[in-house]
Amino acid sequence: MSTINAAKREINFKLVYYGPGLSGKTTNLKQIFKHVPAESRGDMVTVDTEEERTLFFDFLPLELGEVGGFKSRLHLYTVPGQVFYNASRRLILRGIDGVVFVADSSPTRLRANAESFRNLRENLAEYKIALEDIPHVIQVNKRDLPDALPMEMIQDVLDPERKIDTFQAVATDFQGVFEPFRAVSQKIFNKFAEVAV
Amino acid sequence: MMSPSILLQDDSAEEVSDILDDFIRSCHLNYAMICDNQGFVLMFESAIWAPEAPPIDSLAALIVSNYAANDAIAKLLGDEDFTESMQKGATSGTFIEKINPRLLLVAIFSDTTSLGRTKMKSSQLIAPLSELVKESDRKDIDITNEWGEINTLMVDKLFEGKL
Ligand SMILES: Nc1nc2c(ncn2[C@@H]2O[C@H](COP(=O)(O)OP(=O)(O)OP(=O)(O)O)[C@@H](O)[C@H]2O)c(=O)[nH]1
Ligand SMILES: [Mg+2]
Repeated sequence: MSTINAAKREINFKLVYYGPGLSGKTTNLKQIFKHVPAESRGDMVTVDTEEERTLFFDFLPLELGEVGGFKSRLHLYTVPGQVFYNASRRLILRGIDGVVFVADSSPTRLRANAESFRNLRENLAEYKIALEDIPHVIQVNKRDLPDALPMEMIQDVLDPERKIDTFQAVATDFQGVFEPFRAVSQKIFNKFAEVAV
Repeated sequence: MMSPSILLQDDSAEEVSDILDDFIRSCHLNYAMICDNQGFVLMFESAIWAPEAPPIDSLAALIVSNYAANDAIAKLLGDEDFTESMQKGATSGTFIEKINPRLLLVAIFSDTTSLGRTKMKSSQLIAPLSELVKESDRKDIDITNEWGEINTLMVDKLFEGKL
């Protein structure tokens, strides 16, 4: 649920990168950080373990320009993918405006993708939100793996009816990082414009 | 879908800012802010004696998540919430008071801050602040049909020359 600060003339949106452990959520935020101009972003905050596994979240604030006297701001978060951090994951979803689901192409992670996707639905349900109610896209990451599963196999598990916009990525090379980010942002903005006018 | 909510209106901003400034002065705080439970900062004020403020978005994101985690811990232990939320180091610290389910008042203190006074004062501020900062659906922003498209173009602009 976007927050409007009329006094500061800002409209704030919260975008969450969700997915199984090690699928590349943190890598997405690091790449976005690296590629946007310094004046459009704040510091990236990371709460992680010594092994660089996300423990609570990563956070990256971005600022767009002004439209109609209001500045739009996007707060990007990742959740910790490891199964046992579910309580933290649920907290990060509070007030979510959109989600990028980062799936892993590795053959050993097919089940983990499915479980994480189901877990996303369950955690959203705690906030009485259905996934279909919020802008969402899928990024299938690690397409560079030599044994990467075919796209159809991953999509059959996550989105058998092919209803969700899906992008291939090699996040470590910034390939396919921008496209899902843009797509979900566009959905968020259009949805906001729809309910706000 | 959840509709957008306006939390801080133009006409109450000055009053809220004055309240925070007075809070800072009377307790000798470094900074005071109001943020929502998503981590968005609604108002941030600094003391003239305070060092340059840390990145406030990061600060708010961490404070709010930490508060949310503590809240979840309280519930796990069977409590409604922890009534007091204070973090204290050698020279700095934070004190947090819930204004309402969506908003927090955060005091950031230094080694010269009076903690007793901060606690007392912040509890007195809850009532006036909850009157001034509240959800409203007054729709006085001008969202045109092109609003979504222009914002998307600005996202493209962020990555100009990088793709
Ligand atoms: N081969 C390959 N490796 C990747 C790719 N994207 C990320 N990685 C690597 O995968 C590992 C995990 O990436 P992270 O971004 O930390 O994963 P995460 O989803 O944040 O993991 P958690 O924080 O545990 O949930 C790192 O070593 C990354 O360098 C990719 O596209 N291809
Ligand atoms: Mg991570």
